[in-house]
Amino acid sequence: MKRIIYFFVTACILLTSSCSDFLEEYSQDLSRVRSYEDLNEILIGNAYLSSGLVVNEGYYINVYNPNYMILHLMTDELSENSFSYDLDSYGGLMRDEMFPYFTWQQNVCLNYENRSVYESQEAWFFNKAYSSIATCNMVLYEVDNLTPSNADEEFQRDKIKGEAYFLRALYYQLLVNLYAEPYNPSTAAQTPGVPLKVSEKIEDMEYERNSVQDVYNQVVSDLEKAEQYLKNVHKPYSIQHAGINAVYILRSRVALFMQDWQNAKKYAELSIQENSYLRDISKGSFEGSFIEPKNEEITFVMGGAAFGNINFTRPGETYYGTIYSPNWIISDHLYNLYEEGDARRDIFFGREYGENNLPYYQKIDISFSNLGIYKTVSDQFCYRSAEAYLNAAEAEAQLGNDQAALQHLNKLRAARIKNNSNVSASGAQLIQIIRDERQRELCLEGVRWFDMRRYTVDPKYKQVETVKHSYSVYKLELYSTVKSEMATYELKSDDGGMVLDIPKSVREFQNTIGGNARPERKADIITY
Amino acid sequence: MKKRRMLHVVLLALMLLLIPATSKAQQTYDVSYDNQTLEQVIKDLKKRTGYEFVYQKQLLENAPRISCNYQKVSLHQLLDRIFYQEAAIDYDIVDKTIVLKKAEVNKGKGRYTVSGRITDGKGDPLQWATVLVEGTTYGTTTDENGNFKVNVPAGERVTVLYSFLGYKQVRKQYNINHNISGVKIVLHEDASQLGEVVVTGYQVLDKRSLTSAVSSVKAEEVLRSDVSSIDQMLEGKIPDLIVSTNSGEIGVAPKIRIRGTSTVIGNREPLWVVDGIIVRDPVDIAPEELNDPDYVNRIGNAISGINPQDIERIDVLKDAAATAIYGTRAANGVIVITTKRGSVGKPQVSYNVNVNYKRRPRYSDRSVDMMTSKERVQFSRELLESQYLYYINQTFVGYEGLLRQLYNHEITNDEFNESVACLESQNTDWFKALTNDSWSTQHTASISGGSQTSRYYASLGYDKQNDVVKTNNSERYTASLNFDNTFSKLLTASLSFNAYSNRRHYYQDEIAPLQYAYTTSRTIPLYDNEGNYYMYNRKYGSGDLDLAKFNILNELENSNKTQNTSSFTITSNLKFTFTDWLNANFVLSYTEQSTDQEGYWGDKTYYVATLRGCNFGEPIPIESASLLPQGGELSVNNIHDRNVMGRIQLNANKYFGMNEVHNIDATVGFEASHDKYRGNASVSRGYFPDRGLSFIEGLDLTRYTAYRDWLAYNTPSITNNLTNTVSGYASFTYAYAQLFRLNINGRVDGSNKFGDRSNERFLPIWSASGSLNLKDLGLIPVNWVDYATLKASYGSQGNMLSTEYPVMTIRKGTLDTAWNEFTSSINKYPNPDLEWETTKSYNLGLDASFFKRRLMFEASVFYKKTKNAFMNKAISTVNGIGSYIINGGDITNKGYSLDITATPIQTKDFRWTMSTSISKIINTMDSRPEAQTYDLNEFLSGAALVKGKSVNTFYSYRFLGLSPADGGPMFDDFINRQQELTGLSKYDTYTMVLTPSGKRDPDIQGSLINTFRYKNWRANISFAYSLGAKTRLFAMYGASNNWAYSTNIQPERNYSRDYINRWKHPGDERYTNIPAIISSNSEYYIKYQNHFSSYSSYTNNAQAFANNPWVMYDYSDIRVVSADYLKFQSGSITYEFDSETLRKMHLQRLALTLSAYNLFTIADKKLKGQTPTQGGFSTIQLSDRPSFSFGLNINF
Repeated sequence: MKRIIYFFVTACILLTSSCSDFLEEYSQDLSRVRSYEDLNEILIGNAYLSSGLVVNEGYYINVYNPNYMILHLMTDELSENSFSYDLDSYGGLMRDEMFPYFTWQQNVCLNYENRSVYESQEAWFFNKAYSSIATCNMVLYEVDNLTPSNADEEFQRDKIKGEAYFLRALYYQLLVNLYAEPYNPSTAAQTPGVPLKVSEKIEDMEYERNSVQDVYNQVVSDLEKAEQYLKNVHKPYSIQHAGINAVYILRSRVALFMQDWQNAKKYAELSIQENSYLRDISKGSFEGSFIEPKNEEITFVMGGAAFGNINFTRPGETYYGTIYSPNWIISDHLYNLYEEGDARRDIFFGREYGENNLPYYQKIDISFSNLGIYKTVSDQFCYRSAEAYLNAAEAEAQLGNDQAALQHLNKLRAARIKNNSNVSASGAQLIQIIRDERQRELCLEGVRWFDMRRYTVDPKYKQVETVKHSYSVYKLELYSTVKSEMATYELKSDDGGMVLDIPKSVREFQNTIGGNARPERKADIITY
Repeated sequence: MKKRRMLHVVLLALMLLLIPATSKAQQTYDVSYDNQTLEQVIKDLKKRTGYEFVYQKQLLENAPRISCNYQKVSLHQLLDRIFYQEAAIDYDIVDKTIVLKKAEVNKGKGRYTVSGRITDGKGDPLQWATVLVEGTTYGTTTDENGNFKVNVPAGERVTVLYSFLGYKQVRKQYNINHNISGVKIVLHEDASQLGEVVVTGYQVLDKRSLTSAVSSVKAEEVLRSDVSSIDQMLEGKIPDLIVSTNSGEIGVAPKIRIRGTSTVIGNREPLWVVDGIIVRDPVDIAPEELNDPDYVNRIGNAISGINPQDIERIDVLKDAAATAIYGTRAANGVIVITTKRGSVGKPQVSYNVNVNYKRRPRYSDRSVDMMTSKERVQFSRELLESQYLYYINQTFVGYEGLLRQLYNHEITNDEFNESVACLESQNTDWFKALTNDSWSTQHTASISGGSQTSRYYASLGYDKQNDVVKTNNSERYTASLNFDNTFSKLLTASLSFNAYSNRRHYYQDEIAPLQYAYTTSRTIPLYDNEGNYYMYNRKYGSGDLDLAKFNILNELENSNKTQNTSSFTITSNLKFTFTDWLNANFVLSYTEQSTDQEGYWGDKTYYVATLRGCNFGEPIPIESASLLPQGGELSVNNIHDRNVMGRIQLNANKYFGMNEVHNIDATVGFEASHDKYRGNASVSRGYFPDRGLSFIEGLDLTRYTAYRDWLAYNTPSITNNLTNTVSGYASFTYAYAQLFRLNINGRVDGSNKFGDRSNERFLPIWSASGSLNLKDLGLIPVNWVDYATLKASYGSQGNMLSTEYPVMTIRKGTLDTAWNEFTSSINKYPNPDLEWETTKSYNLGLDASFFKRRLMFEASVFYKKTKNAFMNKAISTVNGIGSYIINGGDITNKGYSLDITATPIQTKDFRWTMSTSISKIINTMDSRPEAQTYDLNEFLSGAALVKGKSVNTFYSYRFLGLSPADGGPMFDDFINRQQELTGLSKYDTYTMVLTPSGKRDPDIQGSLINTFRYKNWRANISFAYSLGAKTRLFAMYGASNNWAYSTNIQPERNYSRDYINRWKHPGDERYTNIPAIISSNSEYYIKYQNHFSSYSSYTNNAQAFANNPWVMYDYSDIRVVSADYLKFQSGSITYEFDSETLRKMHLQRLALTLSAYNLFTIADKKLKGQTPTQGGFSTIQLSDRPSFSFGLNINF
């Protein structure tokens, strides 16, 4: 009997003892966070926006990661290309889906025929920002669970913290400027902003909207922390990582939005100190495209180039001129802002061959031969020294330091305009010149929408823009399509159309969030 | 012929290896003699046993006359009693001859006696029990009081064997130097000898003392020759087990649910166990896919490679008490398969062949109610007359194609009329072109036999299944070897080897020939006038030039999909018998399994033409847009799985106390398993299978930029899973004198699964159960009840999700080329508060037998409550994610089952047995899911869970009738009281607007099986029925959410004859429910283009619940029909040749069988032959083809 038990126990021990490794956790590709490198990889993978990619997929061009392309569509920088239209093409689909954004409709999920389209996209703009914020929250939580073992790791830790704070600030600033009224110092504390979530816990609760003031306070506080942690990161690994200069530019931009001219000036100047380089294009001749990684003006870029999506239709039309027949073209308003000799106009835009000779976008190289490669530069999140000069100029002008303002402005103009003659103005006129210069310089980089908003609450120099966008309707004849009517919509930048409603799926899910009263927009219709 | 000869050679080789030196027949006999002479008895025995008798005549001179009546006695016992005891004649068996001689009484020196009494476990005396001194011929049997007295030669350690048929033998050792008296022997029943056992994989239990819910069935009772895997044969055969097959294609694994569905997001399939070893599927399929009621599993499951002919029995473990010993993995029940093993006796060679004929679908079938060419042309003409406007972006062929040519002045009016006349008589028989009446064969050759020390069973099988769809077939080779050897009293070893190789050949999924045959217009020719394939231009994109030539035969000829699975398993089991009550098992099993899937599209196909951008042989117009400039496409998926399992198990079974009335049966075990699963998948283009299986080289990628981009992102993928588990389990049973029994089972598992929390949040799986023997307790004082056992069980099972972790987990990605850095992404946010999903189950059962086993029944009721079921809960996206796994759901499953076996008539020549089983399962979702969790489509398809409703309940629109003005469909859709829906959530809106139509799973499924035996004839007829499920009729409008397609009449398509009876004129609404066809140029078109709920004025503060009335019509209650059916499942007739004929042919057995399967199904008339099990939720499979088989069984 004893022998038997002994036998059994030995066998058991033999089996179990050999399995100290046997039950060691295994997964092909999953892991826990074990190092700062892991956190860095997560920031790249989940917190920064993915790079853009345009791929030729045979029947159509597929644009990956178009990100926040609505930022361009809603401004006065684009208008409809009403010359050609293919009812069924991919481009046609885009046009149909983007109609409610392009014409500032009350419900952005309904197309011209009132059919629901693109519902998931509405929430994407909102959810993507929160998903990246959640990653920042997780990273900020996890980073303190690791202990740095040497100076290099301490540097890494600070870099990760700084980037996470920076990104959280960036996304909250984006959210509050898409889904809430522009910041007005006197009412910001009462104006509903967006829900703030800065803890790493997943909480099944009904969130409420914090005030615009709260959100801006969070942004400023995050940027202060980012500044503290990134203070030694003068040259990040690449322009895709935020360094101290990106923090300065964003901080100065946020200060402008808050009408905090002192800080706007302070951080713009810090940024100029960090990088004062301006690419001299005034000669007009130019290799490559303006926004490209080797342009040293650029401090930070994030996300892809949405212009692929706006421009491309189908490769089948290459012979008819694919990128030259976009759904949306550069608006006359923008195109006409450039004076003679301004090298930017011909560098930023091209003109279609053929009879219509339409102006198209080429600030970033989106030519056909460069498909299938990730775009490392962005037309939505691009921070560069030109903005620092413009921010500084604007802040100085608002503070009454016209000379200092003009100095910054003329420095920029000298690098852009052939035989530039220095401008000189003061007061409202100077502010107007700076605002126009801002449009000319930063056009289609994602700031115009926000600028249009903030000008409506400027205490001294309030400016309300009127923008018209039209939408052509095509009818299906037996074997072809013909234009049957054109609807034109008008936006006044203070009429409530510049605040997007909280996405329907978000509102529906939690009644506590509430929506934004977006006005109904009536069309002015011409029938053919 | 060659194949068979090979088979014989192999079998012969096996025989030489395995045939042991001696072998004894283990056949039993029933004899009854009334005052017969010994000579008469010998004559009779000669006939019965086939043995020759050799004796001297004078031996029988003074022999007494024999009167006796023995049931089920072995040859030895028979000869002992008749010759040795009654006539004092000794015997020897030499080969097939029995030599009789005078018994040498009182031989030997120093003889003593041993005397005593033998009783059974209940204390009752056993008459006719045998007492034998081992190694001698000394022996006797007990009298009616169980007393015996036996002569024993003197000696030390003399072993005396006490045995009785159906009871476990007891061996005792004595030092014989004096007479021993007063020996008390208790013999306990041995269920395994009677075949009344239950196999759980870990233990073999006596059926009558079972405390848990287990259904057992002998494989031969369910065998059918029209399918090749045992799971497909179980439909309706086992109570509480629901088998649903949604495709009649060969090799498709059915869905199996045991006692309902108790998990929301986990796997719902049962665990398969073969000879005690858990087997796994050849390819991992995600639970969402497996749970999808419309998923067709062509890959096969864990037991697809087992030849049903090799299976001895199937045991289905249903309640927690039965499955607790398997731990968490057994939450959905366990199906235990036991394969055949050799039995003591001379070698038996058996050969079995089945030939099966399956009938293809035809236009004349009731299920194919489609238009003829003439009707289709007439339909087009009517549309033309009503000025129907076709959607331009589609394939123009047939009448509409000609019309277009006419409009474009490509043909003249006369040519048009001539061609139309051609079309009208075209009547292409797509079914004939794509399907054929198919023949399938199965061969199994086996050999089995053995001696007391070693037994063997070996078989080889070949199975060739041809589907009615021409391209589909499956070939399977199986080999099986089971070898048991007793080395000594201490050690018994068994060795099993199982291997199979299966090659399956299918069409590429996209081609779906049956679907094509069903839905394609018969006006399209198959061949042109020269006899070549008729190719028509099919539209694939939206551009005018996006056309490619299509012919389905060309498509099938130039593409295929193959799957090769091969596997082998070696299992060794060493059994150490330490004492008569204690033994240990060491099991070691090794399995290697590989599955290679290959899909091929040739360059001549339409599919490749669409990628290439031009037809075969033409120059590519836009090279930069071509995704496949040269050759075809090959996709490969190779999976290799290796599994090692080791187990140590200690079993104790001891009787003690006075008269040995107490019994403890305990088992403890420890198990470890290691599984390595590796797969790699890739897609390659530029493939030339006919040019040495080569790929294109040196293509100028600067010209083919789209192809270059495709290449840049086309990477192979590798799956590498390593699963190690260790488990401990125990089972403990106490029984008192066979009267009652208590049992406890439990198990704990640990694994290497990443982030497995079962390690940190301990929850053992356990069960407690008991049984009462009502008859023996004296509670049923009537004679006609043979036995009645009441049993009850309770068990608690837990389930933990392996995808949720208490800390954040990340997925390591690759180098991001834009960043030039490695990236990772968050796989899951931490979910630290997740609890176990627990299921508590109760089972109450009654097993009884009446009238000497003429009527037997097993009844059980069960109640299963799953608490904290994992659910995907939608949460605020402010969290960064939209959903989170929580413990939210409560599910109740309850039901009952009844299994009755009766033998209404039993005479010498005729026997009729009937068995039926009914099971009813009701499952309900008790908790309300989150208001926004389920979308409209999930309500319409039955995937949404609704409080108080069964899982799989689906919803429909309420159809009111057709509009008298325009013939469009009208619904009760709140159009006049929209305000009632304002502000409601999705859940509330859908449950209000839609009406529950029933559920997709049946409540009751059962079968009725009749077996008749008359002399040498045996007939078998079985029906299966299902009640309580509902299904939809096939969609009329394609149920597309895209308005442009849903109402659009396609020239390429054939339409159901339903369309002929559509609404055409006002007033028709009184006779028909088929809506009018409303053209896009009709004034009413706009009314039916969109449903009001999709408009802005409505959707701002309410939910959209419909896209357009056409989709609503397809999903309306008028299209819902009952899926109840009564199916003629199988019928067969077998003729067994009698022994006289067999002797002449030198055969042991010869039987011929004719069978028929799926001859008819009685179902709702509205289905018009549409298979009720395969309703309008999925694509057409035309399952359950009628088939006929011929079978032959030979034993040498």
